[in-house]
Amino acid sequence: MIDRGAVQAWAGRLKLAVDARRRRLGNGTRLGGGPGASLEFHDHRPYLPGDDLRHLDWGVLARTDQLLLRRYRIETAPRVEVLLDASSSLGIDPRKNTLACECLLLLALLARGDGARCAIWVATDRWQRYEPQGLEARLDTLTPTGAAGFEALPGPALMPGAQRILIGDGLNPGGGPALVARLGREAGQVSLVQILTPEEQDPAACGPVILADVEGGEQEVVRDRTLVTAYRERLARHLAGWDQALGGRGAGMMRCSTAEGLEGAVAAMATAGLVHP
Amino acid sequence: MSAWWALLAIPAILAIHWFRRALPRRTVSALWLWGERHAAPVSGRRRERLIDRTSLRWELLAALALLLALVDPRWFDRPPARHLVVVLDTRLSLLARRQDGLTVAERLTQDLTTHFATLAPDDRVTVITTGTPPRVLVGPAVPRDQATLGLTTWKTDQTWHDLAPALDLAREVAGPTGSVLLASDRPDPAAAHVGTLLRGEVRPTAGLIAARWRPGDLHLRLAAWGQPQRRELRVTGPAGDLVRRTVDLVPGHPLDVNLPLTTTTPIDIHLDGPDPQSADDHVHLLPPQPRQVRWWCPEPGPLRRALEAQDGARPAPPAEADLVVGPGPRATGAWRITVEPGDAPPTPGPFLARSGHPWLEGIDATGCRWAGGVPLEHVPVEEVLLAAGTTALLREAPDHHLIIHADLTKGTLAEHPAWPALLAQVVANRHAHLPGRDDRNLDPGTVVRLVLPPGAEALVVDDGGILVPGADHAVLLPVLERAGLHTLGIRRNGLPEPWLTISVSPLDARLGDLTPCLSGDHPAPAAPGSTATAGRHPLLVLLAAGLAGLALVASWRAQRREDGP
Repeated sequence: MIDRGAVQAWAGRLKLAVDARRRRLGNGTRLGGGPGASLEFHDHRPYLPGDDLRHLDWGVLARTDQLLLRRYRIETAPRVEVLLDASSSLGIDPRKNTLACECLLLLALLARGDGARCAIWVATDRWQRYEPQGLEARLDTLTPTGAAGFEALPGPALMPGAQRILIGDGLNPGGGPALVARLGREAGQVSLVQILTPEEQDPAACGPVILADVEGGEQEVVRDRTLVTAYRERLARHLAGWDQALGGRGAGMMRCSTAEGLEGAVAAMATAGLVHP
Repeated sequence: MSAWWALLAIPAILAIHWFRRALPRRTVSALWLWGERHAAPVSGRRRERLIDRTSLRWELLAALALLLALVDPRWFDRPPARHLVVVLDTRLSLLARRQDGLTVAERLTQDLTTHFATLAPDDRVTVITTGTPPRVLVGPAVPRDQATLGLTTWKTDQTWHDLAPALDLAREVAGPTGSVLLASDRPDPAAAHVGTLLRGEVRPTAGLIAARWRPGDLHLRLAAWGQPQRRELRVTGPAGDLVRRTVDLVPGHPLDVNLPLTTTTPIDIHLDGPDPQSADDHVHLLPPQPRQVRWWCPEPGPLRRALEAQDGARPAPPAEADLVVGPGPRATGAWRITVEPGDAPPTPGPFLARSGHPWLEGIDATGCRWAGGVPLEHVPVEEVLLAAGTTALLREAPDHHLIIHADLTKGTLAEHPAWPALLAQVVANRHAHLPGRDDRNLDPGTVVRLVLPPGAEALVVDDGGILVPGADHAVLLPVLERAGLHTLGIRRNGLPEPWLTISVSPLDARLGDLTPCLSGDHPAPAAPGSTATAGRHPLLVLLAAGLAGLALVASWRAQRREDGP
C-alpha cells in the first residue's frame, strides 16, 4: 500500500527540475525546436513582401543593405512523461512495487505542481495510460503482470521534446542503450529511476538451485561465489551501459533500493538533480 | 560431406546427460544476468533441465573438435562475410537529369545494382534512406539480391534536409566491421569518413526558390545557376492560365516577381523551359484563408475605437465573439477585457512591466499619465502585468482575462500610443490562438504550432500520426519532409473528421543549384577483419584432432569425479 502521507509530504517540500529554457513563460509556454514566436532568437531568413516589418533586422540592413528577417523559436507548453515498467519483475518483492508507485505518484504531483502537462504510461503486458485523476487509487490496485515491460512492447504515443522519466528495475536483457534509443527518441530529457531489491543488488551464494525467472524461463546452477561474482560483474556492466546511454540527457540513472524506501529514492533523485528543495 | 554425420554425436551426448534432478527453486527478476546456459521458457516444460556438468562440456567440446577435423577444409579459405550499409539520399535534387538522359537517382540505382552484384553471396546489405528520422528501407543485413530488389522502392520526394542523422544511423548499424556507402549527387561534410557513390553533374538550371501568397498578392523569387536563361513564368488556376510572363534570369541575381492575385482557388506555378532540374519548376499553392478575431464591445469609447482600428478583427455578436469586452457572457474559450478603475492617484510612472509577457511586447507607457490604478495589496500579485510603484495597472486574471485598472476619462492613457499598441497585442495573441492557420503553404523544414478546433481530441496527420493537444489545445506539427499536399484531420467524440489541407513546398535555393554536384566513387574504407583469411594449414586439422582427444580424456576424468563418492 502506498504511503500517501509520506508522498504528499515530499511533494510539498520538493520541486521538479525542469530545464530552465523549458519553463513556462507568461501564459504557459516553453521554447521548441523550430521557428515561431518567442523572445528566443532562432535564425535569419531573407525578407519576403508581406512579412512583419517589426521582425526586420535593421542592424543588418544598415550594415549590408540586405533585407533579413529575424526568426524566433517557437514556444510550447512543458511536458513531463513518466513511464513505469510494471512487468512481473516489479512484483518480485511487494516493497519494490510500492516504492516504484510512490516514486511515480511523487513525480506526477511535482509535475502538476510545476504547471507542466504530465502523461503517465504504465507497461504491464500492454501500455496503459493513467490519468492524473484517481491516480492514487489505480496505483493501489496495480498488479505487476506480463513478461513484456519496456523492452518487448512497442513504444506508446510519446510527445517530442518531453522530459521523460522511466521507472523500473532497468534489468532488461537488451541493455540500456537500445531502450534509451527507443523510448528516449526525440525526448527533451530522459532519465531512469531504478528500483532494486537488496537481493538483486548483492545476491548471496547458496549452492545448487533452480533459478526461475519471474517473467519466464529457468536455469539450474550452482550458485557459488564464482557465479555470484560473475553476476555482479554482469550487473555492473549492464548498469554502466545505462549510465552511458543516459549520460548528458538529463538526470541520468538514479539507483534506489527498497531497503532505503522513499526517503532513499528522494535522496537519489535530489543528488542526480531531478528534484530540488 | 559424410563428416557432418559427426554432428549426431551432440544429441547423443545430450540424451545421455538428460537426468532428472530436483533442486531448490529461487525466483529472480533477471535470469539472464546469471548467464545464458540452459535458459528456456517455463511454459510447456515437462522435463527437468540438463544439469550443467563439466563432463558434458568436455564431451561437447570433443565432438565439435572432431567435427572440425573432419569437415571439408575448404571452409577455412572463404573470406568472412562483409556488411555494407548503403545510405540513399531522398532529396528532390536527385531528380536532376544528367547528360546521358537518366536522372541521378536512376543512374545511382543502376550503379548500385552493379555494385551489389560484385558482393559475395554471403555478404549482407542494409539500405537506409535519409530524412528525419532516417528509415531502414531494406534490411537490416539482407542478401544482395533482396537489397537490389529493395532499390526499386527508393523515392526521392523529400525536401532539403540534413544527411547526418542517416549517416549516424548507418555507422551504428555497420558497427566496427561493416562499411558505409553514401549514394548522392554531391559531397556532404557529414560523409567525410565513409565511402561515397556520387553521380551528380554540374549543369545550368533555373527554378523557383520561394513562393509566398498573401491575400491579393503573390510573391515569387526565381533564380538561375550556371548561365543566363530566359523562361516563361505561368500561373494557372482551375479555369486556366491566370498569368503568363517571360522572365530573364541571371546567375547570382535572384529575381523577385510580385503579382496581384484575387483568385480564391488553389494555383499552380510553372517555370516553363528545358531544365535538367524540374523539381523546382513547379509548385502548388493553396489560397490563404485569413482568420479574423471576432470581438464584442457594447459600449462606445476609447476601447471600442481601438478595436475598430485593428486589422484582422471584426465585430460579432457576443455568442460568437473570440474577444469580449465587459462582464457579459462569453462563449467557451473566448478571451475577455474589462476596465476596472480604482481610486489610486494618477501616476506618471515609472512603469514596471512583467518581462517577456506576450501581451506587453513592444508596449512602452513612458510619458503616459495613468489614472485609476489599484493598490497592489488589493490584487493578487501573481496576476499583475504592469505596475507603477505600489499601484497595479494591468492584470491577467485566469481564463485569458485582461483587467485594465484605468479611468479612461482621466489621465492621458487613451491618447497615448501605448493604448492602441496594447489592444493590438491582445488581438494579435488572440489571433495566434485561433484554430487553423492563415497560410496553408509551409516552407520546407518548418515546425508549426496549430490550435485545434473546439472539441477536437486529437490531430491525425495524413491518416497516420496522431498528435494529442496540450492544455492550450494546441499541437506542435513536426517537420513534414514530403513535398506536396498533406491532409490534417481531427478526432471529435472518437470519430475522425477532415479539417485542413496544407501544402509543403519543395522550394529551396539548394535544390536547384547543381554547381556543388560531383560524379565519382570514393570507396568505403576497409573494415578490420574484412580481408580474406589465410588458406588452410594442415596443422589446423592436427590441432583439432588433438583437441578432440584431450577433451575426451578430460571428460572421462570429470565424469569420474562427478560419479565418485
